[in-house]
Amino acid sequence: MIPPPGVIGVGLLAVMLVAATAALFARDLLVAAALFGVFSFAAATWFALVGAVDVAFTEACVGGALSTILFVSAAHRTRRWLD
Amino acid sequence: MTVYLFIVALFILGLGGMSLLPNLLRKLLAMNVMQVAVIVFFLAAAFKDGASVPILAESGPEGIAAEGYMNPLPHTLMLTAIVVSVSTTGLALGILIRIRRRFDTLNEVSLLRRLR
Amino acid sequence: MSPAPGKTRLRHGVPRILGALAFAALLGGLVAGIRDLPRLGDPASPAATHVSPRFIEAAARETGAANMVTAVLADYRGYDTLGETAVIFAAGLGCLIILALAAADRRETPPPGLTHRFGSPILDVSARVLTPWILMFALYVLIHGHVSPGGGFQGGVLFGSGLVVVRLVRGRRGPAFGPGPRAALVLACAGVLAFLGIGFLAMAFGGEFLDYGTLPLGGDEAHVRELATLGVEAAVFAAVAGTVCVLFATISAGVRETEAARSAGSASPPGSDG
Repeated sequence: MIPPPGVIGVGLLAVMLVAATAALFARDLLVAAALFGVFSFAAATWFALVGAVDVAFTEACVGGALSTILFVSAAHRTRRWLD
Repeated sequence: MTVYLFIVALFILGLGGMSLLPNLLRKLLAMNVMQVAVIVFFLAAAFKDGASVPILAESGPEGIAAEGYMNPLPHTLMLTAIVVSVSTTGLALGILIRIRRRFDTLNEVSLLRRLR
Repeated sequence: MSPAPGKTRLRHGVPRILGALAFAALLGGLVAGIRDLPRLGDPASPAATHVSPRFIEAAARETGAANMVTAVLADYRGYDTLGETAVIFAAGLGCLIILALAAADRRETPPPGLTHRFGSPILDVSARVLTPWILMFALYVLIHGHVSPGGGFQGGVLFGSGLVVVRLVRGRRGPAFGPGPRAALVLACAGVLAFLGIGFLAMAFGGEFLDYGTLPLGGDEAHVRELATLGVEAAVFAAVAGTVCVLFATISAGVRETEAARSAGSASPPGSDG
């Protein structure tokens, strides 16, 4: 049995909201990519918390690792600046 | 209820960022945020009190109570949605890099001015 | 927010204000709609009472997979998964077109300042140690998807990431590791075709499209479905792993040109590439 997400769940959702806001308004794409990684890992933890283990696994692989790699590579190719 | 408030906030942040931010890369990030908001919503719908993860625990397949397991259907849908989202994000990044090299900017307003 | 504020704003302020107002209205509507949603974790909510009990109660008996997500993914909703796999392959195909365009466009020069320092010993050794384990874990995740979290999608992403890690650490120098973009896309295409092939094979043996129960694999129906599910997951694995390789190759496509330019233009002083 999985207990309701409770306070930890709300905390993780708050981390997601703050990280997403900061990522959208960051000046440097590298910073934005790192914050997006934080956002994705918090999301993956929340998914695990509500018992969606498969989705949490996928989000940790995809959002935390692969998307961040892609954004960092793109940061290299676009001279990092989000003008 | 707090979960739904956070979902609405994330969704509005993503959708609003997608429409109102001028930079195409920021729009892409905002699209990803919006996708995660939808995923959170589906998984919140899949959660059941007193249920466990949707992997069969006991060895015998007889007498499986649906109340004992989370709803596997939203999990399946969101799992595929995540992988599709990374594919589309990668394709979009490839296109954005091409735009950046051709026009030397990713700002929507500057791009529209160049295209006019 | 921007190095040149004057250039980044919309020329007329009115559309942006209207947009913000529209989003405020949408926000209000969504918050008002929360009242009608079921409580989080309500066992009597519509989502928990309509289709899913059938899946939960019958998945292990009918498909032989203890992981219900795998059963729903590959068997009950195989059509859906086929479409998603095709979308992933289409994204890889689009990336290959971008690569071909970039290769054909010879006027473009790589942006200045794009220099790499590959070959740090720490990164090199880490990649050498980690990569075999990542690739093996990806295969484990694929094969073990019936009884634990995992399956074709996660395994494919892990396998592709394992190949990408080597590219990321070693760059284009040294021996090529893993498939190039074309070979990777052929792999992805083979995955989609294998998925379709399993579906049509089920039709050829008297069943319906993607209804694996009639395949002549021996054993009872649940066992047959279990094997067919594994085949479908392997097809998804190939499609996802190939596409991940293509995606990364597209996004890092300019690196080779820069290295070629650097090796050609040896007039630049040593150390200027750091």
